[in-house]
Amino acid sequence: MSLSIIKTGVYCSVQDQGRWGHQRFGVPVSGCMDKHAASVANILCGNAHDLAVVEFVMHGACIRFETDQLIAFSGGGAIPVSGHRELLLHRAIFVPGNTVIDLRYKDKGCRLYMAVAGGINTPLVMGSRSTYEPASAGKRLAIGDELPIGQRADISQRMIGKKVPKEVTIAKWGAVELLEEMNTDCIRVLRGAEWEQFSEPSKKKWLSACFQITQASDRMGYTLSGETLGLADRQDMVSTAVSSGTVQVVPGGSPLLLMADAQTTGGYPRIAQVIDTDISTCAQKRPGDKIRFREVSDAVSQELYFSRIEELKRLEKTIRVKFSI
Amino acid sequence: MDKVRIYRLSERSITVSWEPGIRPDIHHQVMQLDKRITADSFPGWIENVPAYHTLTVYFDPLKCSPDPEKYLHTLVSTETLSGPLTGRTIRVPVVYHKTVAPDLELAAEKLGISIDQLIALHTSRRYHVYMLGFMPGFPYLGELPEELNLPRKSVPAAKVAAGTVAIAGRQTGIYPFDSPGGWYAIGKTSISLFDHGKAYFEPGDEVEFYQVNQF
Repeated sequence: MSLSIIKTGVYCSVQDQGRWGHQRFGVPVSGCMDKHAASVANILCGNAHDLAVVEFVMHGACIRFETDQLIAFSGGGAIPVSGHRELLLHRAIFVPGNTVIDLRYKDKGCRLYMAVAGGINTPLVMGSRSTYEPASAGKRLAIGDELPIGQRADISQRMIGKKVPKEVTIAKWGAVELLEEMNTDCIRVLRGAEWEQFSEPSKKKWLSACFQITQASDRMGYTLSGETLGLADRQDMVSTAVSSGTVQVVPGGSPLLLMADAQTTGGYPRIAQVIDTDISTCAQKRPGDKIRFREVSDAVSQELYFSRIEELKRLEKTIRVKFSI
Repeated sequence: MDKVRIYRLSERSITVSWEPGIRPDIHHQVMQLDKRITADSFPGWIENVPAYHTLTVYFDPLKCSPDPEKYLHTLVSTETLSGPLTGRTIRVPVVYHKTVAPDLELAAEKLGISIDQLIALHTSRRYHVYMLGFMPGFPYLGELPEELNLPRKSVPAAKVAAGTVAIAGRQTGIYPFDSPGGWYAIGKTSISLFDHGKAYFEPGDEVEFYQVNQF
């Protein structure tokens, strides 16, 4: 029961919903950049939402399935293709053994997630399967790597059905509407802890200007260009905890948006915190894309946080009802 | 308690912040609150991240009851955060030599002291582990003697070797892995700072450096 990597594309790695509980030792949370897309892909093939998946950055990767698998793709940045057939995102897909899937170019999005029924079953490191090489937690995937798959849940087995298809089969139902919001360029933020210390022009620019994601962007964070920002008065700051979604302004005035592999502490002033819901939107932006920021209240961010979890639960329930478990 | 600020860092974390600064008495409060929450946590609690003057509490908002913000307010305003803390004292052997510490001579020159004086000053006191951060296992140690106060390098080194003991401002630290770095490399230790998911130091530990001639 495994699949193998024939080509890796720009970068691909195994990720889950993150490595929690080790931040006090300086270990980042990591996990999928777009945790929402990964959850959706998992649920669509009958998995618990937090199993490990493969995260592909843009196109170029190629995967071979040695045995029959039920999978689902979600996110963006590439189009999965089997033979000459484009495979739909946000659908369960049955792939018989010896199937090869290529990830072709797509002009939108940045990260594609592939969930496999049973989950990617690489060893747990500090309670998580997320790849974070500096802490020797997993390794980026390389050509020839074989990934073990966990035990399929009953519901995944029911999705496949009694009569196992002989060819690639795409489910007629899916969850497209759950992922449309990632196309927006408007990112909602809370005020950062040092918001009050920024100069008035900087505050105005932050909430009105367009910022471009530069090439200096990776799983740790995105450096943004467009406007430079600064404090009203120069102040030395002492390092404190930061988190994915935190926007620090580094010396020189560029905003740095921290992403999944964010270091656990930082010493630069924080102008904003991207709301949890919109971190997934940011994860689908690529260097060159432009984004702008809009302020929302704590109450709104929490409401959105809970409603997204509700959406996932509804999707899970719908599938359970459909396959009567 | 005045001068304590409690703010949301994200939907799933809240920071309790004392007066900004690098002060043992404030860090003592941070570690007391850390100990208090760890010993008797609330439903949904995940982890604490102590830093110089802040404690950040991570939780799962779905499982949280009562509201963690209210809980922390109550805790900070009603409880006396004092009492002994039992940090370990750890002795760290360091080779102070230009062959393993590329900035040793430069740092001494910039400080206007001899290399022997630099070594004597660096090993002269016991340092407190204020926090781990920057990379897994990296300890932020303070407070460095005023005579060793150097601003960070204007151009960070592309590669600082694992085990490098370095200084910047009133802080000293040790690089767990090869990495870029902007601190002055003045020595090297053979201790492995992060191994098999375990960090060598914990916030609250005390550290003493001592000179050795070779590993």
